Amino acid sequence: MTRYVIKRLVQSIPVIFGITVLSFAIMKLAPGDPLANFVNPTISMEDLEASRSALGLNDPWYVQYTRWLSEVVRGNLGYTYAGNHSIRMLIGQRLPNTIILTLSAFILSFAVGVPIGVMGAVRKNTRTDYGLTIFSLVGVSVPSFFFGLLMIYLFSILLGIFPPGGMVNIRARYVGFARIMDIAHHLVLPAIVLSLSNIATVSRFTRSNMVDVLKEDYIRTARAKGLRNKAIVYKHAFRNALIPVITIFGLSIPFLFSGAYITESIFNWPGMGSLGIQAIQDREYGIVMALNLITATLVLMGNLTADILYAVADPRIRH
Amino acid sequence: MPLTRNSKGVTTVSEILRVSGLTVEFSTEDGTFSAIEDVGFGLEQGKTLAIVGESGSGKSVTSLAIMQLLAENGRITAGEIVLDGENLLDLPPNDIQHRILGQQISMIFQEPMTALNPILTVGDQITEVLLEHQGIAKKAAYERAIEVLREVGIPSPEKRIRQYPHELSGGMRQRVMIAMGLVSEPKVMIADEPTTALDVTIEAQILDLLDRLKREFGTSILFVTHDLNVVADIADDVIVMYAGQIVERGSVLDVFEQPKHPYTQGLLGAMPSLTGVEGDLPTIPGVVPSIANRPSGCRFHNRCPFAHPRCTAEAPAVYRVGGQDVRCHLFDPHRSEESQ
Repeated sequence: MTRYVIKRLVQSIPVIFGITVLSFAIMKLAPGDPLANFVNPTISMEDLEASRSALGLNDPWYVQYTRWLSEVVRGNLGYTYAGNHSIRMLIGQRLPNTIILTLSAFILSFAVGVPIGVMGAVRKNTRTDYGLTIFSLVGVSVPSFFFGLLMIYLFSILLGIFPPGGMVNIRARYVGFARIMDIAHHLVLPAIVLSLSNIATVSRFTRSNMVDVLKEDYIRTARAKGLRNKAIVYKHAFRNALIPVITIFGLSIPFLFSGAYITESIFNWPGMGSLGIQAIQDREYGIVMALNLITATLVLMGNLTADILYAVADPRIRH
Repeated sequence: MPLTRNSKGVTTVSEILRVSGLTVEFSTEDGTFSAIEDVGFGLEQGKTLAIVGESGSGKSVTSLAIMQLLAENGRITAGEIVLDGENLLDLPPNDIQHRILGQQISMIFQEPMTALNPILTVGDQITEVLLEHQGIAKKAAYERAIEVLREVGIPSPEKRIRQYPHELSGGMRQRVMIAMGLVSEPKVMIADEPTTALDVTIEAQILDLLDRLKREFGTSILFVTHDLNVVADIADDVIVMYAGQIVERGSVLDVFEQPKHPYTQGLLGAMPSLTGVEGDLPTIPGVVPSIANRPSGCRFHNRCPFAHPRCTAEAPAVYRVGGQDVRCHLFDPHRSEESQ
């Protein structure tokens, strides 16, 4: 197993390399440059060109890429064109917030989606099942910006249960446990909004797998053994039905991570979303590349985790 | 005559399982059809009764109905299934599940590849029968499982018990299935084509095993098969089913020596034999009618070489002929000459 994991980790290095090359090239080939923001009527074309040269923006993209790569491998993500801020610090401030949101939504997706799917399969073609099907359909269909606004309207404005945005109460400076509870309170709505469509996907997938598994011969064998229904559903069917769900496990991570961009801007959540969108508009290549790097790593880690979980769940793969 | 081989004698054989008037209906989009009708037989203690028939004859439905494992759209509409003096159809589902299935009746299925759960170890699957109902300790259950695995001829059972089904060969898996069916010492074991998916050498081994278990433990076996060679090999008594009905019933010796029903005669005639005359193997023309298109009168009349007008019009009753029960007009003692 350890050998397998190491092998996969080594294999992911060229993949990440390829992703950075591609995204760098695409970004550089797109029109616009970071200096566009600084142009004012008094600046001369010569000065502008001189700044461009000084920043190395006139070099071919692969030269710029090599320069970027040689810094990144040494752990230096670079500095912003505007303000000369450390990109590592900027991301360091934002990334944990996005991780909190993404992780909560991830846990929620499976903690809610899987039981819903199992319930739908066990009560196949009953009212419960139809109700859950409608819920799932709505869940995948409703766009998150609309659902987010709806939630804010319902739970913040009408009912006043949850704050409409932000991550902490800025008027009360909580510390310690009170701070954790404060963040959790702010987290509820964005986490629900971010996870909704994933809950729907997970529950549909779980349901259909569960329905298939319940038709298997070994379920009939279990019935012939006189096992209780609970033992049949959970011990025999559920574990088998869960194996394909692991695929979604791996896919969910990048899905939620990119979905967080929109959710964060709805709820004013101080995560990577606003940083990323701003960076793209400002042509802050360093930030965009750093975000690409993080996302690519997450995708690969998600896939690797899924593959490891397959082996844990299915003895046929383990051996 | 195959006699019971137990030491206590051969005269007092008691019926452990009696099925009578069993009718199963399936409701489909096209209406309700009876898959089996008025099926009745007795299984004697320590004997093997074979149910033979082609696909669609209702032999599997019969065995699943006894286990009450019919598909959701199937329903037992009439009949009795009496196991050791107790009519299973009178019992609440809880009782059936808790006290009967896996405890007093067990079942072995056709495909050992798919009938075992791929993600549970052999030991888990055998012991859960004991752990679920008998409340014995896990350690004792595993010891018992090892004992049963040895009993069914699995070498180094201590090692095998920790393995998963995919690590075993087809024959081994079927032995595991048999061990699973045997572990709680049931009164009746139903084997639904247990050797159909296996190659012939393994098939012979499994049949030998079942025969040995019957003799050593006095387990009564209901053996469902389409293979007459297997019947000759293993069974004491035989039921021949056609299109949802029993058409002939008797001891294997009687039925094989003197088949009465034209269908049984056809089946036996279609059996290849090493000593038989050369030439084309005789076959029964036509196919088993589907559940929705069963002919009127005798269901076999459109394939029967002896069919006469009465066969199309009137469903035959069951007649006692020699040692057999036969569902055929040919054996009606009051048969008038004109209808021949």
